[in-house]
Amino acid sequence: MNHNLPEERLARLLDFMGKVTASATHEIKNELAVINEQSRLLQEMLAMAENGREPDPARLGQLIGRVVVRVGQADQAVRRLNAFAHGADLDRGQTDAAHSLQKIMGLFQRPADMKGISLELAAEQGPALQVRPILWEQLVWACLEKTAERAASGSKLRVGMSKREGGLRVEFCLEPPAPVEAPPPESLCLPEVQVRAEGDGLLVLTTPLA
Amino acid sequence: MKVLLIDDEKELVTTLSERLDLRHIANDWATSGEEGLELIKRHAYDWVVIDLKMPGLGGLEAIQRIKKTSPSTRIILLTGHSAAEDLDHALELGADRYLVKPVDIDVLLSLMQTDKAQEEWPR
Repeated sequence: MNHNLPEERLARLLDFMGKVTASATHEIKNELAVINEQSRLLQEMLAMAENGREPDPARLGQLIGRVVVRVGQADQAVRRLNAFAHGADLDRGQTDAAHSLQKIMGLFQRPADMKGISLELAAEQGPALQVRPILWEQLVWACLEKTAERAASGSKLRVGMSKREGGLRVEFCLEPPAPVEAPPPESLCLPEVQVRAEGDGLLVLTTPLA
Repeated sequence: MKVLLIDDEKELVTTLSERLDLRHIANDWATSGEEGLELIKRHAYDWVVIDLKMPGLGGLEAIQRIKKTSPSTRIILLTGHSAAEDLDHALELGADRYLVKPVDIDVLLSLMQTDKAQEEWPR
């Protein structure tokens, strides 16, 4: 396989993929655990009906409705993970940055929930980046992690993306504001992209990639 | 027997609570470690069933505080797919049993009904 990535960057990429899949599979497992409880309860209520104890139809309907909702949520989580997996396709040399940002923020929802922070994205469509999606996504994840590190519970992590001449400008900041450290360049799979702390947030600038 | 269920996933904990109700097992539930500790200060529980990964006060820290507040309360740790080192740490902190999600209520009840310590933690 010709991946054209130095070993060090490949190791960072594998670390990133491990984090994303661990988090996403936890999310799926949680949905399955809830569906399991609700369907078992339904089964028990119906078994009691066979023994002459009438179940509450409203409760049955509510439980079935919730199972449907949770199956939908599990399906969304699987779709996000599948879309992420396809970002690593070797034949994809172009990235829709806004789409990738949205995808990674969806996958970052669980780590954000665990820290008690909410996520907000405002991204305008920008030029396609001439890089493999997974490399850009590793950079986005690293910036989200670094920003979330400094967030107090109840904070909002805002991400904004806009076009700039020849590339993109992506900002990561917290509300209420808190100083954020930039991820070290050696931790990123796209070291040619500028990532720096600016004000109370992180600024990512792409130029030669569009 | 009185049981306290602690999990940040409200639908899981309330449904499990309802299933225990059907079996006439007294129980309360909480959706955070902090909320669970408040209940433990006010009520006596024989068993606490607690999720490992929760926002805020996580399962491991909560186990330590539960054992400090109520040493006789026994603890079953609920895990998704945890690393063996997390489970070892939980055992060191005072967890008595573990159960991997999804919960099999018969297994949960049998864990509560036996005095025998769980022999092996998963590796």
